[in-house]
Amino acid sequence: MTMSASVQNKCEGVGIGLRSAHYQDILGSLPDIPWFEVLIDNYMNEGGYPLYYLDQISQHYPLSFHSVGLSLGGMEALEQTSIARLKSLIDRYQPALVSDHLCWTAHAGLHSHDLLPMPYTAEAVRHVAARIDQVQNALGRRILVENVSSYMQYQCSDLSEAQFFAEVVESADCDILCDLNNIYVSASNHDFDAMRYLEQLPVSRIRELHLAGYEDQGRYLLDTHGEAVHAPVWALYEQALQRWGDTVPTLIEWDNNIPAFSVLLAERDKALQISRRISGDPVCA
Amino acid sequence: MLETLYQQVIEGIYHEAKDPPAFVEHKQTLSAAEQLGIYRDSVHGNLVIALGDIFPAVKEALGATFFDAMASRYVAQHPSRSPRLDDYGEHFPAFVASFEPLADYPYMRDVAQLDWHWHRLFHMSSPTVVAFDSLATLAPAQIESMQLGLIPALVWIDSAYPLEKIWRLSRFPEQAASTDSIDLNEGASTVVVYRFGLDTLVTSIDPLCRDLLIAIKKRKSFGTICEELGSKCGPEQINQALATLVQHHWISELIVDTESSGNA
Ligand SMILES: [Fe+2]
Repeated sequence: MTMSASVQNKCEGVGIGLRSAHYQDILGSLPDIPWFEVLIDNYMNEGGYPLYYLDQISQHYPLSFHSVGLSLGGMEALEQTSIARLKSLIDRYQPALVSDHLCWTAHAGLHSHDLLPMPYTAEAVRHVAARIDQVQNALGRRILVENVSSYMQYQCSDLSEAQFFAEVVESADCDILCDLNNIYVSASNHDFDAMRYLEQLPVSRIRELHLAGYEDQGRYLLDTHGEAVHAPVWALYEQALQRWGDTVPTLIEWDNNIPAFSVLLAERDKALQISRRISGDPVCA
Repeated sequence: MLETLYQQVIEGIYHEAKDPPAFVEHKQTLSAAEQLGIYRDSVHGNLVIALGDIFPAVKEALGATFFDAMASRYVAQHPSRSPRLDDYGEHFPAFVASFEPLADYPYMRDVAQLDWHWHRLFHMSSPTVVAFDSLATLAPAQIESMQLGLIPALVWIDSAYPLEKIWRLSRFPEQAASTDSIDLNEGASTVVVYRFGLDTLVTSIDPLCRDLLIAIKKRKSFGTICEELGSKCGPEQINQALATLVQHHWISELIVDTESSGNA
């Protein structure tokens, strides 16, 4: 299966996270969306409807692959079967971007299926950078690494999260997927300045931005990806675009309590308005 | 250092520690134990949700509150041991069977098993089936010696209950008439879960079809199968049962001995 000749293998502008609840909306009306991000872990099986729909959608839209399962920061050997499967899906669909997270997910044979934070130390930088390098070599391409939301800080951390992130991507020579919601959530939970965080990232490596919604639990913010993007995250987005320009592709991410597709389109429109405001383009209503 | 830290975190997530985790910084807003607790709740919560997605008929039959409480006990006893969330829940049917509060629902294990197989088959490749037009051209000796193969995406479940009816009522409640009721003493049944193209389907079969499936799976020749089943029924019925299997697109392979062809 290959993309139809008219589909450019490129992620530009504001894309939307592909969710199974919206397959029919997308294929039924082929909305004007520049690209979709695929949670590739949901397509790692050998067949069935998920891959059937991915085939269909890939014929009309450029894709990015977003993984949650490589456990880049983990101590266990990288899952060779998963990497081989990911490579075969990359060969088949030729996504414009491939990403996973700056975290670990499993240890000693136990899997959390969650994005667990790493300690921010020089040892951890060396460890995760070497593994990212291994993955990039195995896949034969650069990957983007995304910052995660966190609720826990380790005693042993002696770098800030932003320093850690910057050192990892330089050392691994990989790109950045900067999740602004995650930065805001962690900044609020751990009392650091989100803008100061952005200033510490190497601009030339930022290839994608994520926008999503969190839940206010009172004493902390929980990154649920189950709500609309909150005002402070929109504000951070505006500041980020002012700093980096509006050429970095942005994704609207919504993973839980999936709403009607039109709600995601409205979020996309908000992002476009901010982006146009920054670039000085006329804002379409 | 990473090794020790990760070991402590994953243990703290799956086995609640007595002491507050010394490796987590204490904060004014959240204690070390509370910070780790957010991850424990998140991991457990996600696995409970995953079980609900994988076992929709069990969840519907028992109600979300009961199901989530039971699933939560399962998660506490069965940490995930696979990188794929789709693999989680393999031991859930056995857990359901031994779950004391469900002692009066002995069929629930079978419902869970059906849900599990449905979920596994949903993600398999679409099967390729064999064309049966060729059967008419075979010599009697070839039919005697031919071996059949079943599609990989096929599982059958033997139940002491009318399993298909019970499962459908919970899995597709919107399709059931309000007057639909099930006689649990109706007797035993065999249910086949299989893939036809992209669709995952469920159907009940009679005992002869079940025996035929077992014999084919054991790779017996058609002659041997007829001999063995001959004590229970005549050749007409066996042919009829084979026709049922063919009509359902369950036969993926037909191995014919070309040597014994009389008219090749
Ligand atoms: Fe994200």
